[in-house]
Amino acid sequence: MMDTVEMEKRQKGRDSLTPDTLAKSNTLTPDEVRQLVAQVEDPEIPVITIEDLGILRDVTLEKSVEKNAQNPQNTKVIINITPTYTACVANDVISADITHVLEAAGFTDIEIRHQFDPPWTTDWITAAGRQKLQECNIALPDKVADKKSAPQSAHPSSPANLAQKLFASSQTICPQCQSPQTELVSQFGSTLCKSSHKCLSCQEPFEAFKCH
Amino acid sequence: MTSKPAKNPAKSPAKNLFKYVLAIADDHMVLSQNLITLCGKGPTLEEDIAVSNIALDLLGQARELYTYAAQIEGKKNTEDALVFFRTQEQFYNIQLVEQPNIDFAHVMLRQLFVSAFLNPFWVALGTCKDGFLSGFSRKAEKETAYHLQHAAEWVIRLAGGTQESRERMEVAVARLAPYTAELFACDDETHALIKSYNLPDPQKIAALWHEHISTVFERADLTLPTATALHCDGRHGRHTENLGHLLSDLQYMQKTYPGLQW
Repeated sequence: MMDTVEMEKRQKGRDSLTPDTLAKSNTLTPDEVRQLVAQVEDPEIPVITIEDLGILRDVTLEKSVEKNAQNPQNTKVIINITPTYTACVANDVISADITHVLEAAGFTDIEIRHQFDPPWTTDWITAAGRQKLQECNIALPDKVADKKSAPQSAHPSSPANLAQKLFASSQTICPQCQSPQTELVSQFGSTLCKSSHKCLSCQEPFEAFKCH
Repeated sequence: MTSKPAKNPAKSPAKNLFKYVLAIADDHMVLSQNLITLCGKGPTLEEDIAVSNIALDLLGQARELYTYAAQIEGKKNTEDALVFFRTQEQFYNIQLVEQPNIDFAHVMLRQLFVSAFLNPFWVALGTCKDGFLSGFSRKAEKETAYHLQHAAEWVIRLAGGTQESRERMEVAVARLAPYTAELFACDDETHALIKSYNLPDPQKIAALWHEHISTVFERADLTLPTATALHCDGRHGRHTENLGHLLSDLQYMQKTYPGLQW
């Protein structure tokens, strides 16, 4: 369900199909298509791309079953995305933006798939992405794989682990003044992927990316 | 006629997996719709946001489940068709998730009861023979872990808060506990399904649920009543009054203007 602005963008994409762009789409390799798509920005934090966030998975090209004059080579492009959170509302916008970019490159048969396994974690954010988030005053947790702070029972979701997590203190570093003296205000924030915190040193509120 | 080998359940989900997936989707959808009615009415801004986030997580999970259910059903239904056009008797959620939002104690206790079930349930689904369910379970498990922690902390705070919050929490326990047995109810048809697809065993999930609840109730100094459970049959389309109200809000526009697009 697209708004008018989005529909106009899609129409422009179609109108820009010329023999040149058509020829281009037929010679693009999956890697080149991937590079194109990787530059799509997160609608909430436009400085960060879907590549930076680590949500772009495989890009494949295959034979399309569509037969139309605009797709003489019958190419289908499949983009696999791993959403940060299942219900993330940015997913729909990102999918629309990816479609727009691909249509401008001459593709007509496009499929975007959600791949939940393995599930996304903040470990997949690139170094460049982490730097950009820091500049936007969004804190990041320690790398999930490094977490050794508390002894973990066999499974992260076991009842013993729940007991440890209840009212546990936050280790998040303030992105503004770098102090470790911060407190968790809520596990939930302005978007599904972020939690709300307050710095006890500089007194400013900030948000953090939840590790998964 | 030569006999055919049994189909690999992981490759061709039988139609009766449709009803199983649909029921779980209904649990998520109804609870989400119930929580969404609180948007803008939270006791604090942070809590308004938290409950809305939980509702949104549940909605996203419901959408994935409905889309998969429609695919298994094979009748070219969409997630929208399944949600907007079924009658109350065709919804298969448990009755716990449709209980009214009487007060904040009820909302958080209901969330604790549901999330203490859903989290171990998703963990257990990780080893089932259905490709979609086992893959998606790894994501849903992490999202429900936050819901469980949030609800647990609030139940503890309210039970140990003021005299009023304590009384309200005790009333909520007495009112909601009888609905929890339905979390683990299972008919013969479902038992057979569980065996062939290695789906979560209700008794094993019940044991984990009791551990989670004990952990929280001990800290909250609350007692789970052992009185006989209510006879609930949401899984066969028998529901309480509040589901009617929830569905009339949810379905009104599509039922009045079928095929409506924003």
